[in-house]
Amino acid sequence: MVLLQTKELCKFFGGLKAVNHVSMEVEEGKIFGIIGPNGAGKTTFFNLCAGTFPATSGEIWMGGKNITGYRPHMAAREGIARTFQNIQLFQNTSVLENIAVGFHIHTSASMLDAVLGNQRQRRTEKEIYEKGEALLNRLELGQYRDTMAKNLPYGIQRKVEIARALAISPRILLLDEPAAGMNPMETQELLVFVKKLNAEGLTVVVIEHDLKFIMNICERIMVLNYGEKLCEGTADQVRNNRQVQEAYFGKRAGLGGGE
Amino acid sequence: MIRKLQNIRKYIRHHRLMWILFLLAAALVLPLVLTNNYHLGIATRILMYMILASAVNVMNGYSGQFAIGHAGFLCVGAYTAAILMTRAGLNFFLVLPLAGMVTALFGLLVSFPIGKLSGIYLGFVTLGFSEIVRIVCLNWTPVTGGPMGIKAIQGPSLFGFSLQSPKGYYYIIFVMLVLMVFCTAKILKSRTGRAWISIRENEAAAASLGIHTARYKTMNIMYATFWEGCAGAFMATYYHFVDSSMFVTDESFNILSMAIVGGMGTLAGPIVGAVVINIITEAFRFLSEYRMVIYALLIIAMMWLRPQGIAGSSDSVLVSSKAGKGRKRRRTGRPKPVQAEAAPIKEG
Repeated sequence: MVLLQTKELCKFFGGLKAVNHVSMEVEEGKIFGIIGPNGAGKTTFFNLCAGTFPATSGEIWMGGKNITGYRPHMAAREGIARTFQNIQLFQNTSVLENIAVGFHIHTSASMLDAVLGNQRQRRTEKEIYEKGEALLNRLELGQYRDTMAKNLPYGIQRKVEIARALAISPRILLLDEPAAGMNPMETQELLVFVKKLNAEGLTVVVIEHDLKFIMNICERIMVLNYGEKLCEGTADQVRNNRQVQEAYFGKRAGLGGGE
Repeated sequence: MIRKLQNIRKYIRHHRLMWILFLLAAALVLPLVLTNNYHLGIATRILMYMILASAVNVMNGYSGQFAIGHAGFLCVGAYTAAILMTRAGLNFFLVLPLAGMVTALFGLLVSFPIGKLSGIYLGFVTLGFSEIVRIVCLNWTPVTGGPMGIKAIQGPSLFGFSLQSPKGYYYIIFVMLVLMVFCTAKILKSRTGRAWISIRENEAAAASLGIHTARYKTMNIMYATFWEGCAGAFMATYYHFVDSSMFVTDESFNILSMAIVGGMGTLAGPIVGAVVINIITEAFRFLSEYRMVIYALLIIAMMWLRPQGIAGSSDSVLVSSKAGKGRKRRRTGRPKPVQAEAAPIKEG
């Protein structure tokens, strides 16, 4: 079943065609990779899916529902969770507090409940922290629960960001360059981590520059270049695609471009 | 000095409940000890500013909306109360929440333009709002009395008993403050408070977790302005007089500096700040206008030595990298990182 789908999605910034008629279908339960040279529009494409920017034209469908024009908080309620290219944690709060914010959409105690300290409030708080701790323990982050987010090592910050995204119980997780800035060991750990999440039934879309990482975990890969979709297929198909090779290494006889 | 302050903070944190009870008890018996009405008046004013600084802290310190023109909201609350009490003859305790609600409505109004702004731009808009309110009050003579202000505002009374005495005022504002701090503390520990803090920390991330950021920012503004309006209503009945000159921009900065000096993003900060600033301005009263110089120097010194405020911690939001670094290593006894030093963050 197709979970996340874009139809002829476009985003133009003035004359710049950041995302140009990109159609994509992500199957439920799969890991889908997006690669492309710098400035190919990968992150912009993510931002469109997560509702950060409104699309210029085209449609976004999530689980058979048209979510075009949804704002980020609405997209989150549809089950789209994301991480950011540069880690965006709530720096001055503890890891557990970071996670607790993730349970926001699943709770409903109001300000009045909070002031009165009534049963609903107490139940909500208990539930949030119990679930939060359970989540941290499941992801082997339990030892960091009271550490302030900004004091964590980089690799752990990345994991916490993913854990926070998981707190909203998403149907799909968008990872924007999760391995950026990680050393090989951290990357390997992350790879195992993402695979484990996927094995538990979570659909994942991942943008990454680390091609080894992508080729290793993605069943399908989409290649973007200058905002346009170059090709889509399995790792082998993408690797042997002429256009992809040209985008990455330049034309055989030409002066070369890209990276 | 800084080390000493930290030790004091640590001590207070360890005996938190005891300290809170002690301070509450001390505040309760204060009017019985202070026989001088002038001193009791200062104490009353300090409590009023504690509410104001705490409200500023809710908005500026917890949701990161750095508003400046808080005197505008105070003005709305004070005039609303003054008009309702003199024209409609309503009881103070009925007017109090009404003034708060009217002010919160103004907060709602202001939240529309400032919801799209941040940083200094947000500050400017609120400053502009504050001045607009003041100038309207100055010139709308039929309603606000114009430059004459509104005189002879009655004092508070409850079930026929007049509370119009220095002690009466003191206890009224004391109860208001306790109520305000209690509600704020409760809300900050709830999902609403967490949403506010997450917006301060990172609005994009908050939105990505499904928090309706615009709505929560508006709620935050309305909550803070509600209390500012209540403080304004108290001000009206306490001085028996309101006049637009009481709500000039200086007043905004006065309230703001209490929150900043005390330490934003902490509950105790604005309370400490209100005490310190008020006592300093009172203590140097003999210098007349020059006391403002001392006051200004204090703020500069604070920003230099302790940007997070007296009660703020070194992990406060407001700590510059310079001030935070030296202390961070010593203080945090966190578990050893599993990984080796992370590679530098790759761009793009």
